[in-house]
Amino acid sequence: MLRYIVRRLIAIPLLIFGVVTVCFFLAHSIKGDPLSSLLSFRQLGNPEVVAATKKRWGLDKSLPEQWFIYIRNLLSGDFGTSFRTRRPVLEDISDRLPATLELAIASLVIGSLAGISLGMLAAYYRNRRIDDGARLFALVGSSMPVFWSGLILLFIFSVKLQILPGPGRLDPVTDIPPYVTGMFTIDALIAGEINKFLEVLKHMILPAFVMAWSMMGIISRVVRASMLDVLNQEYILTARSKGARELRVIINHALRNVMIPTLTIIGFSFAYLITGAVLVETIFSWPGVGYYAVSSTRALDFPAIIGVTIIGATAFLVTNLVTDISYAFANPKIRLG
Amino acid sequence: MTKLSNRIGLQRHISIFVTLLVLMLLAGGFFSNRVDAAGKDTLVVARAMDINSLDPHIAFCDTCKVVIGMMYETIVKLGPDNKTILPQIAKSWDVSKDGMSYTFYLDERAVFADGSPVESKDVKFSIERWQNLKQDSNMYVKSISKVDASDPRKVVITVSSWPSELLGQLAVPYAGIVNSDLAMANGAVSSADAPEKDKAEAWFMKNSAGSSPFVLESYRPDEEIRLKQNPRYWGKKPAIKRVIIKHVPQSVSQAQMLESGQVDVAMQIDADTAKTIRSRDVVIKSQPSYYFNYVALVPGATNLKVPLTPKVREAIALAIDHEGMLDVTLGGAGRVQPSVIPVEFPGGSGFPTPRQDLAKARKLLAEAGHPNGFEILAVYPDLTSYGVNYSVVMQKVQQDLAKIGIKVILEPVTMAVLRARTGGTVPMTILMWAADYMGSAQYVQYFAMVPGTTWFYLASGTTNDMPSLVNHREAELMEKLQKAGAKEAEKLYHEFAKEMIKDYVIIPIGNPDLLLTYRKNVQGMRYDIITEIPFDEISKR
Repeated sequence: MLRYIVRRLIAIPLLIFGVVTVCFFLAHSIKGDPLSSLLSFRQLGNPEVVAATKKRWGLDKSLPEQWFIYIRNLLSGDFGTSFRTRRPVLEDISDRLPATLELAIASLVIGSLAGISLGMLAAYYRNRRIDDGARLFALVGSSMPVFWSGLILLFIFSVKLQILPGPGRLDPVTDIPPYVTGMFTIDALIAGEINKFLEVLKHMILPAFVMAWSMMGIISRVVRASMLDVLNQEYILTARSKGARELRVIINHALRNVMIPTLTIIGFSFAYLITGAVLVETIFSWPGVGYYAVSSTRALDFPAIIGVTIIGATAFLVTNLVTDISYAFANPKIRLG
Repeated sequence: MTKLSNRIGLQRHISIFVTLLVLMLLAGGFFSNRVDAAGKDTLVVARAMDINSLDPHIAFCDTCKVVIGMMYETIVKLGPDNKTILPQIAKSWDVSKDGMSYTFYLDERAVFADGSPVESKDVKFSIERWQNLKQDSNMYVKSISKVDASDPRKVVITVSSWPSELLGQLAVPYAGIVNSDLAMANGAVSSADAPEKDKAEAWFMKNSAGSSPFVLESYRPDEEIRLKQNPRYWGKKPAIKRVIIKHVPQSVSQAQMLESGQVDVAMQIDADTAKTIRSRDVVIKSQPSYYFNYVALVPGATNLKVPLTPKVREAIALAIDHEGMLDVTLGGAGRVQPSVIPVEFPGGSGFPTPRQDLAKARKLLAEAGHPNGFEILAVYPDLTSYGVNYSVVMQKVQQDLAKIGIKVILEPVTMAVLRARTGGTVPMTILMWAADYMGSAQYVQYFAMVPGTTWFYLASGTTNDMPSLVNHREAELMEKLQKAGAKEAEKLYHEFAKEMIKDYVIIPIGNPDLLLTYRKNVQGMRYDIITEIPFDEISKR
């Protein structure tokens, strides 16, 4: 298995190089001059201003020359400067990625636990009210657009009931915890600021739930179907006949066998949560990488688009690797080679 | 029997776990957002921020005017009446008889945030850097030919043309005076090679170098900007010690945060959303704005099905139902604007309200040889600007033009894509204009059909060469304007406005009313045409 992991790890940089090159030339071949994201209407026709801006941003050089400079800078950790935020792209991403990861992890935990639990309950109480209720709840979550469920939940819990905070990662006047990981929950704990940690958690409940709710449907469906299959197996009957407690039968004997297809879904859901969080990030003013990616794309901010693509590609490659490895842990019969 | 008791056991486990969790959180007061969002000293503002730089000589955006106006002072400033020019860094000024030379006497008390005095060298450095960086707001310094700073307390600015609006242009936040020593130490350059040599923008994104009541505390793009009071401010200190502007893209989210008390001011709540606000703690004041949206026609576009001749353009303008447009897009919360120069600006008043005239429009189309209409592509930005959803506007235009047989094909794109395509393959679009200062020259420079203006360049298909589009009367007026005094200029601007209506290239479709929405403990709110809200005048009870 070690050889397999090493081989996969070596392939990752080569794949990323390919992604960068394709992305760079693709970005520059689409309709839309980078100048249109650097200048307003007023100056696009002013040759003096256009020339000065091209010179300032290195756009006066040929495309292969720009690519060479980009790759050279990339190797030294410089992802370029964003046209939109006018800050180093890496700085932008390292500010935003932890916000997205934190939200994605929270959503994944909530979505997985709730999805698996709902699926188990639905299978266990098959064709009864609990089954119907669990399936309906999951179905509503995965069918409802997140921007709508987000706004509705904000209205109910923040404006009307006033029991959860509004958009943002912290209350508007709270200072951010000292930067260590960029994930405010962890940074607040490291700094020993328990009140801030609880505040971050409160802010995370609604966006994390909205994202989790949207993925519960598919997880619970997979778990329910697999569980129904497993619960009819003879080894479950054997365990029960031996007098094992029901909770033990479900957790130890049934759930373990349900985890293989579930892990695949969870792995893909995580990649989706990272890259597809843009709507939730917009509604909840959550400054994550999804919102950054979409804003940059809309602004034809090529350095930022390529930067996010590199990070996104890396996330997908690593997630796939981790998912493959976790199969082997979940089922010792699977050998990677 | 065993299975049933086991099932009951499982249900019990789940119930106990959920009950305990909820009780623990309730006991800890976890579920409450009743936090005093900000004390008396801090003002929290919600706004969709479009900051493209915090360097005053590079930035150019709506939010830039707000925040740069808070961090940097200018030589002169706009008064509360949005018309009068008042002293700021300059305590007084003289204008030469020919109107070509302005002498500003700097206030001896003026100091930067680091305590160093504001001197003429700082003014010279700032204006020359603004000029030589050649960025978006550069058009406002084009008229300046020389800045003399031989006396540390006196600055003489010589202009080459359009002198009558220099004072207004120097009140724009982009004319902010920076501490030249500090800026140069961090890579700023004011010489002609500034576009290549100046490396200070990254520093300006994290620091400020002005003399105003607020200094930059921190900026996190797409998240928030924090400004704190400048302890060394030389003028009247503001009541607010800290301003936090949160990036809240959605109007609905801004309203929710305002209602729940998490922000004190929301800057972009649209009229429809404002109607949903029920809280008695929120004040909503509506007032006319100077922004306006306009439909633009591009006769030089390469993908026209029929030429956009003057008669065709006039027919399109006459087919638009302006009152109906206001109802559909703003629920009536706005004004019809007759010419590109708003009523409050020099030369903008005295024009009749445009009305839909379908009979005349059809007649003009028939005269132009298109009695059955034609097809035209409208490429427009898919955004909502100050409460106006451009897709809704274009759908209304589509319906109106269908009444005279013109079929409008709608193609929404992002603003950057529109900028890249406008001129070449965009026969029709919609855009918004916000004034940068009180003066009408900006409208002429932008909209007149004379080679050299922005919209002549765009309307000619980015060729700047379309003789049939040139309005020779406007070219004559431009010549006259360069030698005109303020009073004569107003008459000339009125002439301009009349001519620009007749161009039928830019068709204004209304000023959305501006909504000032804030918590009732906020005092001193008013509309400023440059910075939108002067935060240094605000206090909280």
